[in-house]
Amino acid sequence: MTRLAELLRRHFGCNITEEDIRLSFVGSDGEPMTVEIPANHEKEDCAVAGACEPEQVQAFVLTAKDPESDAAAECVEKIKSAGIPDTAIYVQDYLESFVHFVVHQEPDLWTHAVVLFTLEQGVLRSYEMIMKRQTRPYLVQVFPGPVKVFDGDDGMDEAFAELAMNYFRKKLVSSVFLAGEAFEGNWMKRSLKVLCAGRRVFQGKNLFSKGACYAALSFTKEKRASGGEEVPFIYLGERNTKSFIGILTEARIGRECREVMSAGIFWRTCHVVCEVIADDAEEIALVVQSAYTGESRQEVIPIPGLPKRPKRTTRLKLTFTCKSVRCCHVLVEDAGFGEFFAPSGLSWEQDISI
Amino acid sequence: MGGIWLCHGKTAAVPYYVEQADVRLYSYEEVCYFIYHNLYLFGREMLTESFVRWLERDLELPGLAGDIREMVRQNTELVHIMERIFEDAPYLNAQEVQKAAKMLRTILNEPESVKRKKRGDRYVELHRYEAGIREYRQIIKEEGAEAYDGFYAQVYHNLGTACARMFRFKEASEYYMQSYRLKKDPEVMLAFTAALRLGLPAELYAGLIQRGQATKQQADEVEKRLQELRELNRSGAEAQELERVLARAGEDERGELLAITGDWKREFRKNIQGACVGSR
Repeated sequence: MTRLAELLRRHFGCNITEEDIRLSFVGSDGEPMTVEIPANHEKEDCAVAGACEPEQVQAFVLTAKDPESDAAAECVEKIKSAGIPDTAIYVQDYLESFVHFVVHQEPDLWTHAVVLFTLEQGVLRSYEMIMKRQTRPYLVQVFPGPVKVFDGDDGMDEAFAELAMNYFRKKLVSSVFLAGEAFEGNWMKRSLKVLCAGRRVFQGKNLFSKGACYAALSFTKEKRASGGEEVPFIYLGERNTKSFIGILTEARIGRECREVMSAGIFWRTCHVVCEVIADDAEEIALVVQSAYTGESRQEVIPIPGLPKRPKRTTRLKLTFTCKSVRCCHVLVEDAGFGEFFAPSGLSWEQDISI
Repeated sequence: MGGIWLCHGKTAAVPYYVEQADVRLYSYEEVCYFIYHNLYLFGREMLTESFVRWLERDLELPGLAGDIREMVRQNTELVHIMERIFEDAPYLNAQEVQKAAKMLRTILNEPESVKRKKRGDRYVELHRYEAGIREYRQIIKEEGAEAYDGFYAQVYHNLGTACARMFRFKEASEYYMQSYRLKKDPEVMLAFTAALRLGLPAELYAGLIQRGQATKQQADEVEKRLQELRELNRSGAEAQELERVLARAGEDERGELLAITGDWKREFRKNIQGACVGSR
């Protein structure tokens, strides 16, 4: 492996494309820095690029155009085989990485909508990031906007300017991000004037891997060295779960609902585990709340046949995984009570719609 | 009516070993359960830096760990430390916490001999017979005043029982006789007779009855109770499993048989050991 950094780094964002691998990790100023590894390197060797021992990685976020593709799954396997722990690997799409990137910039840049433009193989795509601040955590969605296919380089500047003017009409946009090398060079003259009118515009080629690196920090609740406050948000992308799941539990006074699974998780890699103590219980009551509407409903999982044990000496392990973006599978297992009472081997399962 | 409580903190990958009870604790709830049901075994010797670090790093309860560390440093009353542990999460309700606090206060105010006896009794309940015997013998060695009427008779009796559970019947019979001399309890005399019955060869035992060291009436009562126990045991799961294995012929069952008796052997050896097997 190539040693790329002297200091230990434990949070990584990685964008693997056909051309190269962009690996971002936290630099000495506390902000992500990116190294580009040419595609002719062995991809498995570059999973960590020698910045730290694989087993010390706390979060490795792979960002991909389509995180559900076979290529993405193959990358994940290569990352695992490099020795990075399973629990430290996350996958997200470019838009989610974009959101993580934006919310880690100064708040003025995302006071209103934020627009992303990508330009690849002559296709210009646009996206609008909207943050709803009526709730906490904030809800973030990214909506696709107009697409323009360029036929050669002629007239690109004019066409882009026209598209942008129409897109921004009647919209309040705080900032614009141009992702990709195709925006480099001096071809944007009129379009840049349109974009910059009353907004700040940024252009760069490592936006997604840096966003993934910010995501890695968020997932492990690391604070950036700059001391910036973490913005609590949930990203409701196409592939992300749309509901919160809570469990009704006993509290000091009465009952309360405690959240066990957040909304905004990429459904394929969703794996949440929590443990509860059951006392003469025959069911577990879950609360499913829509992140969009706030409406909630109860789902009951029957757990008949629990062995009779003294009060509060049955530990149940609940595992939440997703069969699809709208379906959560819950597995409940009797875990006994340490050395006092052995597990019975009993388990119960149920699918719940989210 | 049933209830569900969210577990507090993490489940430790590496348990905390409580030497006094030879038990491994994996979670906050188990810590509370252990303390609540073993108040006689809860003391400052459990509140070590090792225990506090385990709470902090393995259970991920830094707040609780920090508070205990500070309370120990300031020599805070043991009852308050226990309350702080219990109040970190609603595993025990308010009445249970109050009850435990009241009981612990009572325990702490008891004479040392009574505390020792109850500790010994708890060890015997947990099958830690050697540990129990150590406590009882220490009471006898200290030769203090009787904590209450019949106190020492009880101590000798319990010593006898702990020895009997380890099949040390001769010792058991001597302790039972000591107990009977202090307080003429017919049940203790019966226990004495049973210890002789189980520990002596049949002829010697018969000779003792003839010479009047145990009455025929007591001997008959012992036989009756042994028969009742045999019948009870025969209907138990362990005995049925053993009979099932013995009924089958062949070498294949030998492994199964060894597994059953092996478990019994391991349990017996564990129960009679007195030395610490290692702390965390």
